Formats: sequence, C-alpha cells, structure tokens
Amino acid sequence: MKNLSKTTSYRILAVVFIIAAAGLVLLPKIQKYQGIDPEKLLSHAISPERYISTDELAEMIIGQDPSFLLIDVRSGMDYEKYALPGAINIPLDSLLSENFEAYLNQEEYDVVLYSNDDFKANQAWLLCNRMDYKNHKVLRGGVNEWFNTIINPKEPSESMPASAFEQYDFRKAASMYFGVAYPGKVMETEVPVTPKKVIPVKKKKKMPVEGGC
Amino acid sequence: MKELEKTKNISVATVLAILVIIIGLLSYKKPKHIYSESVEATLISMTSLENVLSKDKIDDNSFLVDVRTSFEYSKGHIGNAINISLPDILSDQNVQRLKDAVEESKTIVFYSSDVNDALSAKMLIDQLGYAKTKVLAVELNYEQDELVIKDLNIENSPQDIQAFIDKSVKEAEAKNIVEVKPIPKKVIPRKKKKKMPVEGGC
Repeated sequence: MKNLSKTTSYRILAVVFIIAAAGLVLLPKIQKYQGIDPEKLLSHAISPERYISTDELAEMIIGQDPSFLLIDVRSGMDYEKYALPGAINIPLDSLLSENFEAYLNQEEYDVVLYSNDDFKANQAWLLCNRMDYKNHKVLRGGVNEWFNTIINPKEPSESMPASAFEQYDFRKAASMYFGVAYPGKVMETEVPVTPKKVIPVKKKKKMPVEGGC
Repeated sequence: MKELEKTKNISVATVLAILVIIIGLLSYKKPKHIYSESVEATLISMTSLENVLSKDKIDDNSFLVDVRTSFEYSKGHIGNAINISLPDILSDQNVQRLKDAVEESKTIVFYSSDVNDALSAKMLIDQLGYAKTKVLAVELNYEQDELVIKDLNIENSPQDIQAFIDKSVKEAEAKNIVEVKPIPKKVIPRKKKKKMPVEGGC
C-alpha cells in the first residue's frame, strides 16, 4: 500500500517535470521575436552616426574601396532606371527575404543603404538595426542629393570660401568619373564599370526546432 | 539508518532546487518595453503609404507630437502640438501620454524638422504596440522668426539622372567633334643590336 502511493507520487512528479520541460521549448521562440532592446534601438536612432554623405560615398566608389556594399532599397523599376554604380537592388518589401540575408547580416562589409531620399533607407535601417545587423549606414539625402551634389554640382559664386571651390572641383571630377561629360574636356571613351559584389548565399540546413538548454 | 539517509538526501536536493527557483525569480527582470510586433509584420505595415500624412490632412482628431528638442519647440510649433523630444519618448510619463491619446481614439502624428526623426519615433512606438501612429511630411523653416511649414514630398525622384548624363554626353560630343585631334603616335627609334657570337661559359 505504501509502495503504491509512492509510485503514484513519483508519476505525478514526472508529469510535472515533463510539463515544465515543454514550457522550456516554448521560451526561446518568444525571445527570438524580439531583437535588441527598444531603449538601445532608440539611442542608435538618435545618433547621426549612421549617415554618410554623398561626397564620402563618391570618394569610396572612386577609390574602389572594397569594404562596403551599396544596397538600393527602391523598387526594381527605379533601380533599372538609374542606380549608383555597383549597387545591389534589395526592394524594401523583400528586405527580409532569405536570399538577401547574406548581404545584410554579415560583419565583413559595411552596408550603405540608399533610396530616392533617405526615408525608405531609414525604414530599412531601423528594421535591420532592431535585428542587430551590424555596420549599416544610410546615404544622407539619397539619390536626389547624389544628383544635386555629385552628378550636377552647382558652381560656387565668387564670394564663397576656397573650400567651396575645392569641393566643387572634386565633385566635378567625380561627376566625370560617373559618366557626365563637359564640353571642352577630352572625354574618356570608357566609363568604368564598378563590378557588383556577389556574396554566395549559404544554404542553411533546416534544423529541427531547438528546445531550451 | 539507510532510510534516514535517503530522506536526508532528498531534502537537501529539494532545498537546492527551491533555492535555484528563488534565485531565478529574483534575478529575473521584466523588460520595460517589449516589441509586440514581429519584424515581418512591421515590414508589411511600414511599406504601406498610409503612414505618411500631408499638412492639410491634420484635423481635430489628430494628436500632434513634436519630437524636436524643447528649445526648438518653444521657438515655434504647429498649433496644438505637444512636445516629447525623441530621446525621452520611452519614459513612463510620455508613454502614458501617448496611451491616453489612443484611449481617446485620436491619431498620433509625429513631426520634426527632420522627417527621419519623426520616422524613428513612429517605428518605435508602432513596434512596441502602444499605438498606430503616423508621420507628418513637412519641412520646417524659420522666416523672420516665424515658423513656416511646407509640404514635403517623400521619396519622389524629380530628376531622370540617366537622361541627364546621356544628354551631357551628347552635347559634349557635338562640341568636341571639331576639337578632338588624333594624338600623334610617338615613335621611338630602335637601335639595332649587333649580333654577338654566342659566348660560352667561363
């Protein structure tokens, strides 16, 4: 009789432990959902560190800096019409698609996001930042600013400081590099083509759902 | 004797287990803010165009929030907007203010001098599930100390850049046709080497 009650109590205990273990299986799933702390995301969002100017970007492209990926988050149609040299098109709606994760979630390259201005790029940036993707930057002003500063720079007026003229010289030279021709200058026949970087997508093996511990 | 030792062992184990549970409970800190929206859901909701309002869409039902600094706010702000500067948006008091506005079934509209700051506020509050908010697409400027509010076109592309480049190339070609002279090839006279008899080693 005594033995019997002992076994039933053990059984009850075992059931309790099994239920607790099942609870552990559910736990990590909820955490996966979260991303970084909202407070941290806010502090990242406040800092203007993420912005990169068109001048800096132009210099990086011309210098063939190998350390960054240029990502165009506009629609495929806009990308076909005009894209910055070497850019890869990842439309905002397919930002989370598996094919592009290898581009966005890596630590080898800096990622420079751009759109027509910087609204869409910032949306993408905020989302990627929540998922704790590293080294993401936003092109300040986007393609419109690129046009106004690099492709079609404004000539400084005479009263402006020398630095404005230096900047204009750089921008004019840059615009020639990117294919704009000025009458009177000897044209280069070849516009250099910046090769697209291709990151091989590693196919992940589908793992069985992991439990806790 | 043996039975006694067994119970002793069991009680030690229980005490340890209970201790672990208590320590676990004590060290567990519930985070203040938790995302209530998954990343995928956020992506879908943020790509819809309804997130952005223009100036004339503001009505009595919109709850305007100025996310600039209090200094800029005191210099001038839109009508009945309240001020919550972006760095303080997650403080208890401000979250409560936003929640109250939601309860009064008002639409929260963020604005700032930089539309991206308003966007940051919007995305954060939306993802935390406190409210469904919007961004006001405006440009704020001062003219003679008066705040001037202009509508801002988000993500439009006024220029066809490829066309601009092609046009510049065409124009330059048209002007350059006369000027381009063939560069004369430089000819370097080659000295003929005398053939030497093959020399052996040593």
